[in-house]
Amino acid sequence: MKPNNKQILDQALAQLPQYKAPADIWKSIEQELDKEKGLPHIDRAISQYKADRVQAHLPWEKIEHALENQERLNRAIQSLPVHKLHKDVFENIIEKTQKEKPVRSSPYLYWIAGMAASLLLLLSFLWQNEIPASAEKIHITYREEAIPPTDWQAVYSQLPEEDELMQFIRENCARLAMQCQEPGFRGLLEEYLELHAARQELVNQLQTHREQTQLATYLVRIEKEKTEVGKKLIQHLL
Amino acid sequence: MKFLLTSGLLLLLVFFAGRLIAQGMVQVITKTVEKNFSCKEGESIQLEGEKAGIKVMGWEGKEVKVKLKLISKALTRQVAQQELDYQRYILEKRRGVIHLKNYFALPNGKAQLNAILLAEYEVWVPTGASLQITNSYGNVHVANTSGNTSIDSRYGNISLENMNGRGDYKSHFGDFTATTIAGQITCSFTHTKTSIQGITGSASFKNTLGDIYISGLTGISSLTVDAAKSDIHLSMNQLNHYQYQLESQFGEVTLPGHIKSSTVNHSAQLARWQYGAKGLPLIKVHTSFGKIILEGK
Repeated sequence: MKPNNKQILDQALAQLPQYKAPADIWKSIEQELDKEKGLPHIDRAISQYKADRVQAHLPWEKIEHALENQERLNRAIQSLPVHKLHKDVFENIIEKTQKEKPVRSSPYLYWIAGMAASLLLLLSFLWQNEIPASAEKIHITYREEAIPPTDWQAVYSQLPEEDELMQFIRENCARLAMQCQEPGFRGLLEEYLELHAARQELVNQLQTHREQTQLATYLVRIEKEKTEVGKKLIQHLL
Repeated sequence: MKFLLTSGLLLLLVFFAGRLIAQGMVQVITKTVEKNFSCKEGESIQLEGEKAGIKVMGWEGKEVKVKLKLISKALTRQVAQQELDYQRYILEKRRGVIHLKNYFALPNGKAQLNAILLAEYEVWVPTGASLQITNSYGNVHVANTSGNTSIDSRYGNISLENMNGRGDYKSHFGDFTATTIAGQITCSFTHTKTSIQGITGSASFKNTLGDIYISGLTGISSLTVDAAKSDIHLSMNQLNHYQYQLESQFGEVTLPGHIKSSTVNHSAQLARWQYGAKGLPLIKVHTSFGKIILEGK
């Protein structure tokens, strides 16, 4: 340390604030020190303790002897002849172990078996309800039949597609609004529209299916009813 | 003489041959499926027909016997066979309900059939079994049953014979004919002509555009008809055993000859007639744009 620096340090140290320890602190330190002195049994143990040097006696001779034996054994093993075992040997071993293997029953097996039995019982109950009294008997027969030729196209193609009456009603109701508002007229018009829709339904059916005698009958009936209602509608407007 | 006879015979032969040629022969293939089901008390039969003729008969046995015929008629056997397969059916029993159904399954793109396809059901049921029948474009005939019966028919006739029990009937465009029916009967009809001969119990009809003819009303406890655009004909054996409330809007009430027509009250386009002591079984009829015709002694 250089002399200038020492001087500066001394000055700095002199400038440091001084703190006086409280008076009772020394007393408590003394007490602590006395406490340590007053642990007689520890003192005695420490004073009596002798760091005896433990001398481990390792059986080196024995270890060397063992290692020599191991080496001899390894040499002997390597010089042994190599034999291939027949597979029957293993099969016999496996068979033997399987025979000897104790049957271990798992509790889960009982649960699974119980559930399966319950399921089977339930299925058999349901199945019983669905079993019909007899199985289906199916037989097919062939025959010829004479049917009168009918041009189904002609049956409904002759019916007017354009509804002239509706056209007439539209034109006249525009001019005769009051008459068209009457309950009687409106009832008849609803009926007419219903018949028109029914007719259309039957025509659609005729186009798909051709066993048409009954359908044609209904179509004629609808047309007749429609005609009657149409006549009444016209009378209302005249 | 001989010449006349011979030429006459020849003409007849030509005529009939011509008719045969004109008629044409079709190949008809019929697939008949028969199946029986056990039917315990409380179990029911549900029949869904499509273009089917249905006959259901009650019998004393405890089984349901079903005979379903699927028929295909075409000019060639090949077409008849091919299109017969478009007709499918279900005959099974599930949870106490016997399901009988036929339907059509046309292949994609096929809009028109070349064969005439028909179905016919013949079903024998225990007399007390419940029946539920729906059908379109075919007739339904039910006889000799006493369980609950429900029939819903479109474009087909319903005919009933010797029926008892609760009956619920719907018909659109058909004829409804019943002989000797009893029980609690409810009918809802449109464009259906109704003829009933022999009815007992209570009956209620709602009908639009279908005339109703009812006779043999012995033992009826109440009859209610609520109709529109329909004529109602009632033929009574004993007029005085019932009380009547008859009214027709925009129509008329016609009474038997021995009852004065002046007793019909006309007011505000309504013709009304009331007759009979309170407490007697009530016959209540209302219609519009139609006539009510009462006959009897």
